[in-house]
Amino acid sequence: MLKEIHKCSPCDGSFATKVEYVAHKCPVTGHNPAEIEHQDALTDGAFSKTSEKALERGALRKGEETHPAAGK
Amino acid sequence: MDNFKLSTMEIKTYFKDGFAATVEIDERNGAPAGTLTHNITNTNMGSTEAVNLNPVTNPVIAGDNTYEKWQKIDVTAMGGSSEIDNLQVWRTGALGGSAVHVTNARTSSYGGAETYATPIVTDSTLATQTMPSSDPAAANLGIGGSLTGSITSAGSSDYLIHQIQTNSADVAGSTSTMNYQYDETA
Repeated sequence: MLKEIHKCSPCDGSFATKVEYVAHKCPVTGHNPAEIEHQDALTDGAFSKTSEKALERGALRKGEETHPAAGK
Repeated sequence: MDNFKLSTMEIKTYFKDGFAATVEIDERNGAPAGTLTHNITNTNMGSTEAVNLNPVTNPVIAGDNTYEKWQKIDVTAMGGSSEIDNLQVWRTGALGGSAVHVTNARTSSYGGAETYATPIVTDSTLATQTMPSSDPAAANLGIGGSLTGSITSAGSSDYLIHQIQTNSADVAGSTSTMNYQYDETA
């Protein structure tokens, strides 16, 4: 099986698995990649706004899909 | 003895972080299995097969192509959310000259999940449709090979493959923006 390498773009850290990558505390942000703070630190808080918009779209779409008036 | 009676009470909760999913853009480079760079800084396109490349030091000769990009939307944690779906990608901003931006992303006749192969600089055989220049208004990048697929635990989308093909009359590069959008259900 071919071996892949996982790299963290912000800190250039190299990991053998995605699990190791996600678990590492990135020295650039002080957080691990699974934490919202990590993304917010890299985007000056823009990631949280992106999340809010994604949740709004999801709620709107799921509401439309399940609303009886939608006939679906 | 005190009397106790049942009553309703309001319970207030709030979520601090951890509520929303954590999402990043990744790019794979090199011969398979290759190196998967997480959380890429940019999607600059150029004459070298590399992530976060410098387009000034890796310019494309007019008439040539950029190397393909193989990227994916990666959910590193679901937080308190249950589903990520409806993936849409598009580019805003004009390209230089008559260059075209091609991709495997499409809202119909989607080709399914592609298996990673070393990015090529010749005409892509997988990225064959013009990249939308506005929100496509429907999923055009799949999950698990399907445009109606969803991510319900940490995982990633199908590969987004894209390439810029220039024309010999093109005289200048350009700066434009790639948009990667997802819907999230709490």
